[in-house]
Amino acid sequence: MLTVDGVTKKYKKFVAIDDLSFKLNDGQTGVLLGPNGAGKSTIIKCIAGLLQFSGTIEINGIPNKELDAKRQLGYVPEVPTLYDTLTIDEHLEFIRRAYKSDNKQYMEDLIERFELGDKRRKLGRELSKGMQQKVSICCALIHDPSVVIFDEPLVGLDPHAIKELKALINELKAAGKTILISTHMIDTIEETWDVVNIMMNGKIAATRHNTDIMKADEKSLDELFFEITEGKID
Amino acid sequence: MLSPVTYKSVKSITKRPVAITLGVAAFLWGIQCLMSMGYYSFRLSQRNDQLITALIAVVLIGAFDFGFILGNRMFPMNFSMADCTYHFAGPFKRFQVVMVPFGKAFMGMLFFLWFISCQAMSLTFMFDINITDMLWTLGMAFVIMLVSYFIGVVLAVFLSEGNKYYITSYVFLGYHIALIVTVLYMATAHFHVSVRDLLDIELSTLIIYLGHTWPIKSFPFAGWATYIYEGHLAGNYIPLIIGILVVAVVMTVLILLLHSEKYEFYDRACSMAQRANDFREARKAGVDMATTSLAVDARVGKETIKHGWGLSAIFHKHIFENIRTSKIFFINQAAFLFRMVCAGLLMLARTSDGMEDYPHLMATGAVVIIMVFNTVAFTGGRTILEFNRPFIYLIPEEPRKKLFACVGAEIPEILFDSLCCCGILYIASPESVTLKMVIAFFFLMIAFDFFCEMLSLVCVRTMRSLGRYTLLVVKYAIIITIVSITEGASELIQTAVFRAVGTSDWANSMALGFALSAVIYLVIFAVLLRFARFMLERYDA
Repeated sequence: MLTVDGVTKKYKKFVAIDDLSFKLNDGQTGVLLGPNGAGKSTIIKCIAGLLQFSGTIEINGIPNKELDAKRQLGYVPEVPTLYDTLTIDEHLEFIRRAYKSDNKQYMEDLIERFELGDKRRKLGRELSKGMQQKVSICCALIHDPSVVIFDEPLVGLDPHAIKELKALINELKAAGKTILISTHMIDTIEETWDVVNIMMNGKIAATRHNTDIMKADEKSLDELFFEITEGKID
Repeated sequence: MLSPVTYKSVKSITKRPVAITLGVAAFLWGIQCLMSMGYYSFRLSQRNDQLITALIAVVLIGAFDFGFILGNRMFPMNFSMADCTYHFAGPFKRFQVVMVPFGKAFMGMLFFLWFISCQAMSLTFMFDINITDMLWTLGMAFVIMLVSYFIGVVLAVFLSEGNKYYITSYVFLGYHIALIVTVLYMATAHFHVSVRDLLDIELSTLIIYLGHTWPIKSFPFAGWATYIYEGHLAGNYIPLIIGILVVAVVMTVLILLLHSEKYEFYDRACSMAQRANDFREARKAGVDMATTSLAVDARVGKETIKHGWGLSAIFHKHIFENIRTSKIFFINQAAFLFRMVCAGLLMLARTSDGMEDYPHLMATGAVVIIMVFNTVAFTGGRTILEFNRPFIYLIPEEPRKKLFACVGAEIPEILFDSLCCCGILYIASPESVTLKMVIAFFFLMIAFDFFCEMLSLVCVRTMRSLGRYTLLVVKYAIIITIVSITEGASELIQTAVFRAVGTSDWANSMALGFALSAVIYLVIFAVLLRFARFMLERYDA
């Protein structure tokens, strides 16, 4: 379970996130949708504990900056960031040791699933952006976290990896994990989302549940998004 | 089983065999320098414990400042994006995260100690410092760097919130300015001379006095450590025991403070890491950060640069880059730094015994030093940067014009630099330098700066396949060789002119020599320009 309550993040006088609140229950997939500069990555970084903020963020009821909360969190950053001089294997081993995870088989499964087997001895700096993103995803999942946050996870991935990641997200959801995905590409999340928060100027401009969209009188996600981002409604 | 951080560090280090080899070689060289201290008996001066203590104080102050800067200024910059993702968001305690950049800082400290070790022979010859003095100095410097590093880190992390970290920089700078002003004032009062005339006092006398003034001896840790060394010389080890206790208490307090969770520096470290990463990515893509999203009509604040179309846009882009980098865009910062060092060296040389009798020699020496420093200062400018990016090759213009557009934008820097060089020539020998000489030297330096830039461009474009580091070494080797040869030719011309004009008219012959040398460098520059154009046409088209 992920709870964001009254979170505000300022950069000097600029308010990047303004009193933001939302909640995701176990097994729910939430999506943060919004144009560039809406504050999606900022709130993701706040949840991951990278940024200072006012308000409360809890992971399974524990404040996000505590070690117990961090152990239950998986984070895939917007830009894949690997160590230049560590191989794929060494990255995964480093993360496995950091999170004290004994499940080596899961590590092997992830490597196979993302077709990293033949490149496991390649250094971080030798990998393409897409490969780096795959390793980044594996690193976030290797310790079997109960809350996983993805910041623009599909950018740079090849079609096979996109398919695998979407399948993986569905599996995580079925296993009762809480998932938060930030994106500005609506079509990439169509099959996976339960609740969408559309962000504008650091605030949630609209929230929609998957069930609402099914109703005949509700606007589609596309229509709603463009209405909000192009300023047709307040 | 290794901890995750140790595992990561070990695996990273093993991927750098060249760095390890160089590190081991440097370490062995440092040891060799220390071991050689006792081999030679020749000394320029007799041992003076007062002088040695004062010198140690200076070294230790350097060590304190170096450690503090590593801890305070460099600490937030030493986190990578991967550190932010895996350490900040991962299950690591705050203290473990704080210790992530310590490896890099530790390497910096070892470099400082190595640098001091490499001076061992010179220190022995000049001041009769022995190996015991050096080992004490190195040991105390290491401890002081550790303490000052952690003081710097504590201030950096506790003042990161609300961007208060600038306070430390101001206090640090203010303290040093106050220190320098106070000791200079005390020295002038003590020796009854003006600040300028302090240079006339024998260097060792000056160092002994300055090193034992109360502001130096009360300098945190570095100044206090001199009491320990004086105690050692007198066979009194009580100051050493007190010193160990003070360091132990201070380090304990600092580490306890860093174990506290009541500070926040992740924002600042993430933003630094992001900036460094953006810069690295931009460099990979051949885009300089200063030029990203630069339109033809560029606007910065209230200023709009409306000129430049097609090829001339390159010229204006350079000028614009210069202005954006600094308001004093006509100053090449690297060159200016070298000029200041040059001026300082020549001022020191002037005060050396006997040099006042050879003003002509001083002027000639100044020219040589200025030109040698130029090989570093003006061999990596914007022209080379531009030709490392793809954009210039896309402009449908002749390579010659492209070259001129780039080189032309460097004119303000070159003009200012040449003026500086004339000033330095005057500082070196005000008695013998004439206006004609200065004017001729001004043109010589303009020609020489252009020559250096073009020579560097040719080297970089012809030897790209060598890889960055090898290219750097080979480039400087070639440049220094060619500069030495041409400088030799220039000296020959000057000697010939000197003989032709007559020894009685030294200043005029020097002026003529400078003018002829300028012509030589302009001719070589023109040849190189032709060669560079040929290369661009043949290889870069």
